[in-house]
Amino acid sequence: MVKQDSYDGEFDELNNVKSLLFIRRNRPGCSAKKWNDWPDEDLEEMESTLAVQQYIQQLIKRNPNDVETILQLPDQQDEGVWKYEHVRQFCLDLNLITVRLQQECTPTTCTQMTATEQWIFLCAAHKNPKECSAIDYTRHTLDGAACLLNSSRYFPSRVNLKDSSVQKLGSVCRRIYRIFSHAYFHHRPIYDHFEKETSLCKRFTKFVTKYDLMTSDSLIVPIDEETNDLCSSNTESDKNEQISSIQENNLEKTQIENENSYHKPSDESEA
Amino acid sequence: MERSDDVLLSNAGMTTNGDINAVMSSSNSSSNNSNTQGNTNSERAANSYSMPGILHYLQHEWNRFEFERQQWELDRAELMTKISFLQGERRGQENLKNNLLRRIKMLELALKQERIKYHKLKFGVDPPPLNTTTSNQNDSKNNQSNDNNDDNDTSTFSISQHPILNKENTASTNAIKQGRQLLKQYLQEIGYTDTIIDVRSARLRALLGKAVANNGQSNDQSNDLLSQSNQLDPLSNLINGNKQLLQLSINNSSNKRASSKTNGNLSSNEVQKILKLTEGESVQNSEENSLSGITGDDKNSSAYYDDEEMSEEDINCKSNGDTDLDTEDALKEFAFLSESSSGSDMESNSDWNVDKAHLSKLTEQYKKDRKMAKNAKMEALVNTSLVNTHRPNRSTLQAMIANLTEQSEDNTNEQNNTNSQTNLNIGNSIKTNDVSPGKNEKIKFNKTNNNNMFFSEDDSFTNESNLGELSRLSVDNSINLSSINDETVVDSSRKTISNKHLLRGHFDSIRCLAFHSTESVLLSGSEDQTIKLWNLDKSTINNKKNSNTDIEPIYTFRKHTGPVLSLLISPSGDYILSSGLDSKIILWNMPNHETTDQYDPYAPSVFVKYLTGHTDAVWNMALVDNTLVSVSADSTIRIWNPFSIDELNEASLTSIGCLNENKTEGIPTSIDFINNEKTRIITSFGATHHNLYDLETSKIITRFDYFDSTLNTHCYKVLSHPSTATMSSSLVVSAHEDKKIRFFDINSGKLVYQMVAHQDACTDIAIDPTCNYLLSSSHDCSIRLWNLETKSCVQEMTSHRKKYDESINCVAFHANKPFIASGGADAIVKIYV
Repeated sequence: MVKQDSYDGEFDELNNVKSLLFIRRNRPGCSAKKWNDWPDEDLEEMESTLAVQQYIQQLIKRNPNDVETILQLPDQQDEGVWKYEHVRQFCLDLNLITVRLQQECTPTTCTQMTATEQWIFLCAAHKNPKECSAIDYTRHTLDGAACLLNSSRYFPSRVNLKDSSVQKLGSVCRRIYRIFSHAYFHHRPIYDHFEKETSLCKRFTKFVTKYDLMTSDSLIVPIDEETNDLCSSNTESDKNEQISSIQENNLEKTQIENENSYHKPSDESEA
Repeated sequence: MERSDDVLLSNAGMTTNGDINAVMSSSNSSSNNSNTQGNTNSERAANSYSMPGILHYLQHEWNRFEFERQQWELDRAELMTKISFLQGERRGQENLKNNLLRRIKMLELALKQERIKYHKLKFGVDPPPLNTTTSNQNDSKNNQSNDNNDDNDTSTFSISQHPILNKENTASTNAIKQGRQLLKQYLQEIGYTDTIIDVRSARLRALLGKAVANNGQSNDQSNDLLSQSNQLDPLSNLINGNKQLLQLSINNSSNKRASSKTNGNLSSNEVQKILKLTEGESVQNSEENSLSGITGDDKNSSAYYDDEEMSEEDINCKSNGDTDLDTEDALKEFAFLSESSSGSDMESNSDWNVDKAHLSKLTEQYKKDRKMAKNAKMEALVNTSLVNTHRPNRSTLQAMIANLTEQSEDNTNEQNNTNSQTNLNIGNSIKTNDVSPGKNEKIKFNKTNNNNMFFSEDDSFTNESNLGELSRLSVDNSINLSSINDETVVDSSRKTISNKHLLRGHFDSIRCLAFHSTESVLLSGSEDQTIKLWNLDKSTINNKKNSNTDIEPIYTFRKHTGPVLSLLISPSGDYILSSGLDSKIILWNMPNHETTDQYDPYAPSVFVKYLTGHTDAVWNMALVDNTLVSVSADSTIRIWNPFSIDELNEASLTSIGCLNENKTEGIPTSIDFINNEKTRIITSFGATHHNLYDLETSKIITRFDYFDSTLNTHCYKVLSHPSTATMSSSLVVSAHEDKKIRFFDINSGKLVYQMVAHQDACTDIAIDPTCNYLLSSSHDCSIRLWNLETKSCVQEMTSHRKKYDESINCVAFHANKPFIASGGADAIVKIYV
């Protein structure tokens, strides 16, 4: 046994050396299969300033369905950066479902951004809240998130984040979650196919629950382990839903105000 | 007993030595002070002292005295040395002062003679005697506080007030231009150009660094000679000094005595240093000359002369070496001049008796060197003000030099006018030379610096960091020197690039970039599966309003289901072609860049169609007219007609041709049309070779081998470089993993040149619209601009951060606007202007 262990150790070392020597590049001409095809690397070994993004992408590539591992905060990792990079990755991965939604979710089929029947979401990307169609809402939300997450005002660095900026992630999450809910309630085949491939919604739900970025009652899309919750969320009384929808609209309006101040950088009240 | 105890206590207190104490206490408890011993308690005392104890005590005391005596002697010797040092210094100063006084007299005389001669030549008569008397008066009045004003009055007038002179200036400038042109041609014929430039730019760089260091040092010295370790910030000192200087120049009558004290502190050492400095400057100046001459930029050289219009008669450049030496000589004299004038301030009464013979001799020499000296006069102006920055009492000198530069006739009638003018002049020149000596040099070089960037391989980055200051200062300069040549600036803006915008909007590595052929519009394709459209015009406007505003994309294209790898915009600007890892090529309509906003309703019409055929990642595309070629990891090269009218209606399009279908050549990585003609294409195949294909026959014309088993020669990008005026034959340029850029002859297929261009894999190359410059990017986080003719690096910019082992994936030139873009693995697109 001891011998075996030492052999394993040597083997690991060999692997380490190999992974160190390996140049992690996608050179022109490389096939789709060989894209990012290199040995995994520990977070500590990554010298890049974008190590967290690399690490998250590496975990996703290894097994996108292993949500727990992907969300496991590494030792000594700044939580703000960890959350920020994850939200970036969610937005990135949501591009794919948007591409698929574009094929059947058109302004004519889904004129409003809805999940369940009573909830209409107003698009917060505009200076004045707008009742955008579902696909517009999706695109605008993602574009807006991209701008916010790349804003030199709120996120000038991807290594050091201000606490006030990290708090912005909550509203980004709340908004992009509606893309999941819309897809789930209105484009179920696309959603199922996508979820099976990427487990993105599951990852997202776990993520926002873990870091308390959204309230649990607003997470209306069931994920695998909580199939039963679907029924409960559907059996809410009409009255409650109406109230919540009003609340949601109010909430949305306050968000819109927030957004407005983002659109006018001269307004320093928020900074 | 009580009493003797007291004595013992006081005794113990008095004696500092522990040994003595021990002796005393051990001998008897009732012992006494040794001084009072014999007289007071003789009996007891006799008992209490032992012979060895006394001896020991005496020995100790003697030692102590001896020690102190030695210390005194040491101190004395030290002080003596100090005195002799200071005396020697004073003697040296006096000698120096005498020398300088002699020189200033000589120069004054020479100036007078020059003026007379000039007047004779111009008006054919002897100048009015008033002239001489005034200057004589000046001499005699030199000790008065207002003398510098008088001096100005006699000799200053501005060019603008004398059109005749102005004409002469332009005429002489033209003549010089021609001469310069001729010289340039000679030099080019000899093939001297490159070496001279290299050597000179290297020297220049060394001098720039050295000169600044020297400045700081000497300044420190003047502040505190004896405590050199005093770590004063030389820059702040200088700035203070300059402020003082400005004040002095404004109220031309000033407290010279106080400042002359500062002069007194100057060691000969410092003077030497200043001399060194001026020498350095002169070398730089001549380099400036030669540079502007040799670079072959007419505009540059003319600009240079325009600037020098102030020093009217101007330069007669014989050869570079000569000018070097002569300028240096002349400058030495000017440096002395400045010194001597400071001396005159200091001790105005002291000897104005000048060795006549020596003076006349020197004057003759001066006449000989006159032309060269004039060449250096502008220089001297700057120099003197440079010297001024050390000792802020030189407004008089400044005035004199300004006068020299203008070399004007005496015009007593205009005294009042010119007086104010001179003051203005002084103020201006000080402004130019304000802030720091380092900047003094920079100002001088703010035009040539642009040239230097061309030739500096290593220091380009530091140059660039200076650029901010330079650009600011050049504004000052344009105020001072009435005719700055704007063309120089425009010309250089093409060649010196600086970071202008950051385009942050992607979530992952940027893989490809494409500029609109005419508008300031950029497309970026990223591994986040999107393509974003950026309007740089819009962003520029926004930036002016608020520099904090981020540039946001105006449209996001979402259709690819994998990283976007290649982008093209059709020459008309109506269509976009993109390809990605998802093996798709997509044809898009270009949204209107002026009206589109990213939060507009989704317009499905932006997507036109897929070009289907490839079965693996499509890595590169090239487009000429209506013909598109693409290379894919499925090893095929496909040819398309994406814009033909009847096919636009179809939902998807298949290729009209396919090369390398049997995969015999390997996997193609990059493709380009030869000379933008749609008959021939060049394709790189992995780490082995390029192939030149004839599209009409689908046959290989030439094979370009570059495989080297010891290196990873994987080719990232291949480009065709059309023949230009400077390069007779067309080239194929390719960027490789082994850090090299290779150049092939298109006809023979032979490797004609290869260079290690970067410290890491070379990832992309782009050729500027004039075909004179090559831009390369690398995973070493830098982009470099190369002069294609000389194959020398013109500028390097470090930017972008690494993700995995990738940093910069792509670079692009705008076809007719001064934009350069680079896309990095850090998801940022940078725009350089």
